[in-house]
Amino acid sequence: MKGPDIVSLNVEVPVPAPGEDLTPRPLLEVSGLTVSYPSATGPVEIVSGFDLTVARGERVALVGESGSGKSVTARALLRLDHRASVSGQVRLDGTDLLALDDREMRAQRGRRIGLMLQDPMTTLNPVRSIGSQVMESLRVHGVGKTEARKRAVETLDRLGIPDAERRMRAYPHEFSGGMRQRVCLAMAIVAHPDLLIADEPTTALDVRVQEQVLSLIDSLVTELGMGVVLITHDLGLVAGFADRVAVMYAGRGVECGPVGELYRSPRHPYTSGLLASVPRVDRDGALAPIAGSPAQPTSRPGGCAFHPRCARAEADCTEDRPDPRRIGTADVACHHPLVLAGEGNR
Amino acid sequence: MTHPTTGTPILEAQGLTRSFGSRRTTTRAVDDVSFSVAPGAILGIVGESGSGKSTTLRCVVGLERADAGRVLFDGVPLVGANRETQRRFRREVQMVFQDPYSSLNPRMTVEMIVGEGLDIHKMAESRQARRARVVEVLELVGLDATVLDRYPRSFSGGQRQRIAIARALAVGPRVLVCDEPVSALDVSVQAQVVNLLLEMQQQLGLAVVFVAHDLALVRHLCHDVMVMQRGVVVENGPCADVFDRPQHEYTKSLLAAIPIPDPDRDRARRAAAAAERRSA
Repeated sequence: MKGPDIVSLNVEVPVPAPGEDLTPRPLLEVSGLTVSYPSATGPVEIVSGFDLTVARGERVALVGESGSGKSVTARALLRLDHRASVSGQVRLDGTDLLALDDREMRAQRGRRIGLMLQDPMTTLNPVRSIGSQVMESLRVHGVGKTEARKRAVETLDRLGIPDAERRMRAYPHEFSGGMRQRVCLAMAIVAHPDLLIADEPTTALDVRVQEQVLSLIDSLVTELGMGVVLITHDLGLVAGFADRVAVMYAGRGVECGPVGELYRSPRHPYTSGLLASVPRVDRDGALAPIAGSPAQPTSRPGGCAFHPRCARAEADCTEDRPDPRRIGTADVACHHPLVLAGEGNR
Repeated sequence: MTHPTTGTPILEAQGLTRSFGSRRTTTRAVDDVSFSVAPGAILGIVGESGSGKSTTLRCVVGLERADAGRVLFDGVPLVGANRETQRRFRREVQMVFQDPYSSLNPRMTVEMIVGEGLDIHKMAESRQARRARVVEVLELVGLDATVLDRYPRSFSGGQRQRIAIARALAVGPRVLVCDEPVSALDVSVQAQVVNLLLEMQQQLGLAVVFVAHDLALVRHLCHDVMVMQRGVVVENGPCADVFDRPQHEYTKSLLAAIPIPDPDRDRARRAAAAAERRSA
C-alpha cells in the first residue's frame, strides 16, 4: 500500500502501519474534549475527556440524560460559550477548531458546521422574517442578496414548506411547531455545511411531526453527504436513525459502537439499563428501572461515576475510573462490562 | 395486561364540552367527550398537543368549568350533588401533575406539602397523627422520615414526583388523575415512577386516568385507551385492541410514527412504510 505517489498527493496522509485500518480520515475528530464552566465554588467540569469521530455521510447519535454534558459538548464544538473553558482537540477535516481565532471560527459556523436546537421558539427571532433569518447564514459568509434569497427559497421548498417564496416574508408566530422546526433546519443547512449538529431537534414535537423532521434530516445526509451528530435522550429515535451511537454519562463517553450491536448486546451496564427502562409499543413486559438519579455535574461520584447506580459495581469501580477499551465492536468504559458467552473479559 | 373485572364505574364523564376564544373565533378544545373508569382500572388518554386531553382532565376534576356535559362520581352527578358528596369527590379524586418543579410549593417543607390535604379534609386528630400518616405515605413511595423538614429544591425530579404522588395518596383517594406524570423526568427515572404508580394502583386498588403523549407508555400501563384528535374522541377500547388493530386513520398514523428502540425492527418497518407510500 505504501506508494510514493500517494505521499506526493498529500503530505498529511499518514502512512498506514501494517494492520491499521485504511478508512479515510473522519470528518470530525474529537479527542479528550474537556469543558468547564466557572461557578461560585470554582470551575465545574461538565465534560471530561470525551472522544467522538464522525465520517462524511455518517449519522452519529449522542445519547445522554440531563446533566450528562451532551448539549455542552455541542456548544463547545462550535465554541459558542465564551464563559466555558474548552480543552482537547476538535478537528474538522483536519483543522483544529480550538486553535482558530474568533474571526476564523466565525467562518466555520454555519458554513462548515450547522447547528439546530431543540426549541424553535427561542432559536428564531420573533421580530425578523423567516426569509431574513434563513438567508443570514449565507449573507454573513459573503453570498450576495439575490443568490442568498434564491437558495433560501430552494431550501425551504426542499424541506416541504408550502409556497416558500411567499412564506419568506412571514414571521415565526405564523408557523406551526413543526414548520418552525423546518425553518430551523433550513437555517442550519442552507449553506450546505459538512457537519450538522442537531441538539434534541424533535423533543418539542408530536410523534408524527417528529418522524417527518427526522426523515428530512435523513434524506439530506444521503443527498449532501453531510455528517450528522444527533443529540437526544430518546433511545427509540436513535434506533431508526443512527449508524453509530455514543452514550454519555456524567460528562464521559461510556459506550460507543454501531447501532445494531449496541442495541442487541449493550456492553455498559448504563446502556443496558437505559434500554431496559424504556417501554416499547411492540411488546409487553415489566420495566426494569435504573436505581437512583443521574449524577449532577457538581457532585459526580469518584471512580466510575455510574457506580452508585450500578448493579455490577465492585470495589474497583469506586476507586479507578475505567478507560474506554474495545469490546466486540464497541468502545466501552467499564471494569465489569456485559460480555457474551465465549468472548471473555479481557 | 389483564383487564380488571368491570364493575360500576367510579368516575364517569358524559358529553363534556369546553370551548375557548371569543365569540368570533371559538375553538372546541373538548367536544362531546364521554368515558368511564371502573375501580382498579387504568384508562389512558392519548393524542397530540392541542388534542384536548389535558382540558378533558381539568374539566373532570373541576379545575376547568365544562360548557356542557356532566361528571358522575359513584353514579351521582356532581352538579347538584350535596356538599358531602362534593367534599368526598375532592378527597377521593386526587391529581398528579406533569412538572414536579412547578407543582410543589418551594416555600413549603415536604411535611407541609404531603400533610396539607389531611388538614383540609380534617383527617388528622393531632399533629402526631398527621406526621405518622405523612411518614406512612412517604414510605409507601420509597422515601422516609428524614425528608420531612426538607424543601422541594433539594430533591431531584424523580424524588419530587414521588413527593407529589405521596401528597395525592395521603388523603386515601380512590381515583388518581395523572397528567403526563413522567414526561418531565429523565429516561432512567421514568421507569421508577411508572413502576411506583403501577404498584400503588395495584396495592390500593385505585382507578387511574392517565394522560400521556407517549403511546408506548400507555400501552405498557393502561387497560383501556381513548385516542383524541382536535377535541374529539376518535377511537377507544381495550389497549390490546386499539394498539394491535387500530380502526381510525389517525390512530394508525400515530402508531406508525412511534419509534421502536430496535434498529432492525424500526428500519424494516420504515422501509415497509416507505414502499407503501410509493405504491400509493
